[in-house]
Amino acid sequence: MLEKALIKENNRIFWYWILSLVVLVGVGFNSYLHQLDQGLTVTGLSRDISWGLYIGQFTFFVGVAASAVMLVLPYYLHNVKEFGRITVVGEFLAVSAVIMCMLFIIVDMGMPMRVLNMFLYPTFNSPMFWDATVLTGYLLLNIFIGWNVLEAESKGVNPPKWVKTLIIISIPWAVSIHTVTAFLYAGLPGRHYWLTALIAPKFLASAFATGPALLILICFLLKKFAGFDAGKKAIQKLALIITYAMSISIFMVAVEFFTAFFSQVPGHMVTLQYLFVGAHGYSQFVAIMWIFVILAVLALGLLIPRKTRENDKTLIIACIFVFVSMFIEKGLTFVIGGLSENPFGEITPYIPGIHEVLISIGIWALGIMIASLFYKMVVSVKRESDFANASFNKQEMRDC
Amino acid sequence: MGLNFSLLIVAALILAVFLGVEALGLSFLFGVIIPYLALATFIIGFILKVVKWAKAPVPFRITTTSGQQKSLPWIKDNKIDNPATTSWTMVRMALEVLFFRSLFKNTKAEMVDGKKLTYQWEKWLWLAGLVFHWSFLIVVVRHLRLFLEPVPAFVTLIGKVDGFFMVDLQNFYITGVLLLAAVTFLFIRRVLIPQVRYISLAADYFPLFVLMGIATTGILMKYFYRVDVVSIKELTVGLFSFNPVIPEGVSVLFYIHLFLVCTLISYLPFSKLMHMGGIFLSPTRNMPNNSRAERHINPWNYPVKVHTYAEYEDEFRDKMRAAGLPLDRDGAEDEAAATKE
Repeated sequence: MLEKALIKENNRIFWYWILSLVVLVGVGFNSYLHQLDQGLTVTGLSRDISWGLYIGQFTFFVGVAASAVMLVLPYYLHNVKEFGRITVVGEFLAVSAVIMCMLFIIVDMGMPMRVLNMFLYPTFNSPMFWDATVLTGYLLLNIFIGWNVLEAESKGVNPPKWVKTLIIISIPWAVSIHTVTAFLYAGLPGRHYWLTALIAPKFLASAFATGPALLILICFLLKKFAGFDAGKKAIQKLALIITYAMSISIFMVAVEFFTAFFSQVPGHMVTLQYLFVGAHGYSQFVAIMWIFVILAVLALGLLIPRKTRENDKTLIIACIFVFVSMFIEKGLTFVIGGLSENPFGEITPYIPGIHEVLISIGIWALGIMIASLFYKMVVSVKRESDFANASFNKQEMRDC
Repeated sequence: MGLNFSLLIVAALILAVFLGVEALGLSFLFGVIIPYLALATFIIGFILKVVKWAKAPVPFRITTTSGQQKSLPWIKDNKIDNPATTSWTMVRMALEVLFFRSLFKNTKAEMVDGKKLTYQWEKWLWLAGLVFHWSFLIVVVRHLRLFLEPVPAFVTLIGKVDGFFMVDLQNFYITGVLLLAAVTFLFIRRVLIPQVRYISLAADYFPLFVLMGIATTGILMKYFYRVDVVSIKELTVGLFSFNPVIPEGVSVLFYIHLFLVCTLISYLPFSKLMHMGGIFLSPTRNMPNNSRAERHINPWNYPVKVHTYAEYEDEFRDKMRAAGLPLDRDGAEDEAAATKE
């Protein structure tokens, strides 16, 4: 089955695509070697902003990974047949996203060579240890599930029974990865922006908006470039999920304002002020924060009315808006904004280093490359099984 | 039977070194004489084997193929799987040697629910084989630092990459552990799958146990019972510069490690491990499949006395004509030509 990802079909565009991704990965890797040599000083991280671009994107992609559950849960627990065709697409998206997450963690380490010690000398009361554990588990679960389900399909049989057990386990597991990631932030008494029980549910809600939005975009790409049709019904079901999840996550962003400004707790207000209007003379994030607001509102405006949600073109635009706006909110400003005001009440600006950006691009490229290879495999298996089913049906009709 | 026998032999070998070095003080035997003998056996045995194989006549193209042969221009041929030129044969050989391409294609046929025939891709054997061979290669290259002075830059680099991760604050060579894990997997597979176990002999188990022994002693020396690397390097460099010395304070673990390596390399030319050289000499893999394009004549064909039909007709023409049998040449023109002259 793996050969389907590697065999060179007459598909030049695909291999140019992979080649260009390889080049980007190479550029990123080169920057990483530089970072390994010089240390984290090549990044924009500092004493106050110790988590930046890397950890922000890590948080965001944990959400993308967890969102596979939005296909798996309806299909396996509620028998939503429309998703049967694309559950593996979601699972392989999760695999690529988790790999990206792990890489974002590794590049954020000053001494990545010591990472094994984390498992050899586990600190059980540290969310870091649990995050590493649940992510590894989730990666393995999705590789085994996705692979075996697809392999069974290519053989034309039902997946083995133990896979079903793994699928059931993977559902709460998906929730756990994002919850544990939220606990990295929500348990820190010194950071008011993060110190709320709402972080975990907010993360999950935004994950269930961004992941499916990305999935819809992938489905449209697969339809355009690989002739793989996910089905109108499946896309519409996903669009509905995005609409609810997006509404809930925007709601959760908004209620923070009430708590902060009605209570007038300074620590609670300062980060929101800094992000949306600027504080202490710093206004680094104000522009992109308002882009987030505008995109989020526009996305909801396109998603909620039935007419624009059911139109492919407006749906694609809405999905892009959802993805970009949530990437700004969760992937860029949530982490950096939360750290910006230090315990002395001073704001530290953050400008990522050039290598930091290149490394991030490299990780994106690698994730996209892994996903592309997986999807090539998925598409060729689906094409073969569609063909087999079609000829089987013809045979049956003739027999009648 | 083969399993117990091999295990016993390997245990006896280890015990022999242990007693020999610890009780009898035979470190010169195990540190100098046996390595020289083993190396000589390896080199001479290897050459003889290759020469023997190279001399075997291979008159015809007997390539194994799994793709469309090159024939008519409008039929697309599979250049890698059915190579028609030497360079494509080399590509196929390289893919086979570096990535075990034929093993990658290994599938297992299975009946599901007694009605549907399926082919399961057998990935684990391929994967474990690949991990084992590549790890072994990297481990061997890493060991060059114990033989060469100054240590070449690429050896240091490979060691650095391989030992990137740390356990505690000590560099941890991934390939060493992968090597042991892969060999163990291959052994367990051999024992657990009844069909594979049925065809396994002592010659299959023995190399696995020797490899396990080598990897285990290596890991023990590196991480658990640290040995004096400087004096070991003194010994190895002494060996290869033909000034053998036995430095003080070399642990018996090293002698066990060395002796098992000697066992492996001296056993290699006479065993299935010779596939290392044999792969390049296997006629089914090292020839282009061009029988349709070129005529290959058996080089040791002796001249055969033949009597062709034309000659036969010349001999019996008159009789055949008299009997009214059809003739290729009725001979009338020949006679006419003769009378003209």
